[in-house]
Amino acid sequence: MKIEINISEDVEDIEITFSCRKLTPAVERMLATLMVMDKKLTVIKDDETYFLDVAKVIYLESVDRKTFIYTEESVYESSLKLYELEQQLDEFGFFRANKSCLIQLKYVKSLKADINRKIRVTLENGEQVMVSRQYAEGLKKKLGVK
Amino acid sequence: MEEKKTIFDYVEQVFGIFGFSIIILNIFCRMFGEEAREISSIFSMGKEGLSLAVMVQFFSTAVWIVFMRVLFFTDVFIKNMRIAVRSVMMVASILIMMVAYILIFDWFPVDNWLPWVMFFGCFGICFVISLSLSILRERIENQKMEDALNRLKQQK
Repeated sequence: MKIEINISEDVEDIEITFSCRKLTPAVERMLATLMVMDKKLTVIKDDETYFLDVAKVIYLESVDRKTFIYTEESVYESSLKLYELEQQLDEFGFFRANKSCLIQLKYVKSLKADINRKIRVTLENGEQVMVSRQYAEGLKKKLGVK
Repeated sequence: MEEKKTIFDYVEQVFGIFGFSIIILNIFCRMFGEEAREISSIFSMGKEGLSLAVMVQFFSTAVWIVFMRVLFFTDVFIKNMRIAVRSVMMVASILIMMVAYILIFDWFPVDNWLPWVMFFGCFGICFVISLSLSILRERIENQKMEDALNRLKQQK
């Protein structure tokens, strides 16, 4: 892989160009990582690739080694693993609810303490997700109540 | 990482409850064991202490309490139930066991209403206090989280 960096006073905005024979999974992953920096997620739906605004994502879920992204209107798939997205989305107000789920805080409607120091999260769309004991402390720290 | 419970954690809980109840009962034995030895099988040895049979009975009570805690206060068996309902169910199951033991092992004269009133009174007071405290703690915690969530949402 050849990487070329061009530093010039004339460049107004950062420009990245990918040149490849075909869109391989490796290229898709690189693209997806770069897009997160631009508050966009590279997602797939019905074999078409979309650039999804991070702000629209309610939660992300990992099922059978696939990562699904849920918005109010639709469900998409991502080529990145949940742990990779977790690192990148942390600064956008996402938190880990359990081993297979990342939630955006702004879509949380209510939080309730549950048994075994777990937290029951009700989302704006009415869905409920359980924050496991392992991640409940992290959420409390993020909220500033710990 | 999440701490996985082992059998030794449950054994520890059983011996914790058992040890505490034995200490309290031994204090009672010292205080009024002689007076109570005629009417209660628990104090059959007077102020000398507790018999082996009584200790076995209280040990099995501790095992039952820990099992009920696992049943109602983890999601191993019951996934979805409100904490207040879980508390009521757990206390009811312990109450049933205690009443069964009172009847089977003659912990006190069952045809006398006063010990029953005292038993249910003590049990009721303990239950109301512990349930009120757990509900209060739950409400405070929920309120704190809700406030923090709203603050965070407003900041964004």
